[in-house]
Parts: sequence; C-alpha cells; structure tokens
Amino acid sequence: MAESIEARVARLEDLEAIRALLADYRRHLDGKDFRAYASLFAREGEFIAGEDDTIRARGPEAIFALVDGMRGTLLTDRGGDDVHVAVNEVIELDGDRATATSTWVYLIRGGDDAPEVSKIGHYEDLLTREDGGWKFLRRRAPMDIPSF
Amino acid sequence: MADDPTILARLERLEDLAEIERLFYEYRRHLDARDMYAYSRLFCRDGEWSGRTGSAVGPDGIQAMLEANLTPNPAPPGATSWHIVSNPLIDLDGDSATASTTWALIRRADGDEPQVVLLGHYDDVLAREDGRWKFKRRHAHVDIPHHAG
Repeated sequence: MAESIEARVARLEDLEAIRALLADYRRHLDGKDFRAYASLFAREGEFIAGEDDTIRARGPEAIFALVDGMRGTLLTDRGGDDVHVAVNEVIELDGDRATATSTWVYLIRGGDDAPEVSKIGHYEDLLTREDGGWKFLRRRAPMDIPSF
Repeated sequence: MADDPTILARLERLEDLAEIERLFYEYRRHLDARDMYAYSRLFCRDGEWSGRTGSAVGPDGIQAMLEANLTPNPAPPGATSWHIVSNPLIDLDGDSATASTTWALIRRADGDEPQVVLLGHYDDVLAREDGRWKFKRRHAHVDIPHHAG
C-alpha cells in the first residue's frame, strides 16, 4: 500500500518548516534579536559550540544569556556588521524527531569596509516537534576554519 | 479532493523538487568527505561528470577518475576545503530534469584563515532511474578565476 497523500504532504510540510527554522535562526542571530533566537530552542534544547564543546547552554533562558554575552566578542556589537550564511542542508525526518547537517559561513565587515570571510563551520542538529512546531533539541556549531 | 488525479501530480512535482535539491547537498557532503564511492552512486549507470578535473562516464568510471585526479582534502591543520552549494533552479520534465546551482570553494589558507578559492556553477541533466533521481550529466564550470576551467 502506497503512502497516503496526507502523509506525503505532511512530510513536505515538515521539511519546509525545518528549513524555515534554520533560516529563522540565522535571521534572529544576525538581527541581534536574541530573545527570538532563544525561542527557537525546545524547553530542554541545548546549544553547544567552542573548542571541545566547551561553550554550552540548556533551555531558552540560558541560551539567551549565553548568546547575549557574545555581543562584541564572538559576534559583532552592531547589527549589519556581520552575517551568517547557512547552506548545504541535509535533513532526515523521523516522525516527531529529525536530524540535520548544514554548513555556516560567517562574514564580517572587515578592514576598509570590505566584506571578509571570517570563519566557517558546520551545524549538527537534533530537532523535535514541540507545541506543534519544530525546535532545536540540540544544535552543535563546531568551527572548522580557523581551527580554534 | 484527494481523489483528484491532478493533486497527485502536483504532490509528486513537489516531492521531485525536494528530492533533487537534496541530491545536490548529498553530492556536496560526499565530495567534501572524499567518499567517492557514495558520490559516484549519485550518477545514472550512464551518467557523466565533466569539469576541470577531467571527465568520466558511469559510477565506477567517475569514482576512478576522481580518485585519480582530485586533490585530497587534508584534515586540520591542512588546507581543508568546503564546497558551498546554493541557488538551485530546477526544471522538471517528467522523468528528466535540468538544473543549475552555484558553488564556491573555501579553503583553510596560511594563518588558519578561510579563503574563497574558486567560484563556479553546475549545469545538470537529471533522470529518474530505479525510482530515484540521479545525475545524468553534471558539468562543473569554474567562473572565478576565469582561466581555471
């Protein structure tokens, strides 16, 4: 018996909702709207980054505090001076869970007001359906260049 | 509504687009991992790859050619590189399709800094084979620098 039309449509909707989640993440991060950014994580959602995964926070409130504290250090102080480009996403659906991998490129306003490729890394995501929408249950954001 | 045959056709079209887009990113993932076996299985039995690195036909031929010609992708702190694949445009036509995408190659340069080394685009012909979308023909153009390919 072939998969039902309803199930096939739901699959496409899930893929689209997850793509929107990945895009919203980038938008809120670069827009310095760290409240909206943190709300993309599940209640037990975890953000992990840094050398040997040493930068971590769990839950939207802790993630907000962590990312807000990156202003002026790991992120530029001012919106418009940096942008993340998120590409190459591969998404695997599994019911109310999903995994995704993608690549991130971090561009900043460099010397002489010229755009500069500052860093590149990748995301390893575990996603979950919570309150009817898709959220990050875990997002690892290891950096690949420079190698810390 | 679900009995309407046009709904199935419309659904299948969206599924085809999603599967083809995914094919582009799986290609990128296997390429950067230098898993040329998995990479070459994304091509049809008579699929062709051509570009600056060479040209070959069929999964085994493509795998052998790229394993012989493609520069290795050294682990850190080597000159590790990543492809960025973006801007997919896909035109479906039944069991075949044409598509274009842009790509960039970013490499770890001296000083452990990212450097954009190449910019280019892919021109693709795709076909459904054994129920899966695969590359029938992929040509990798290099656009910058212009003398490279």
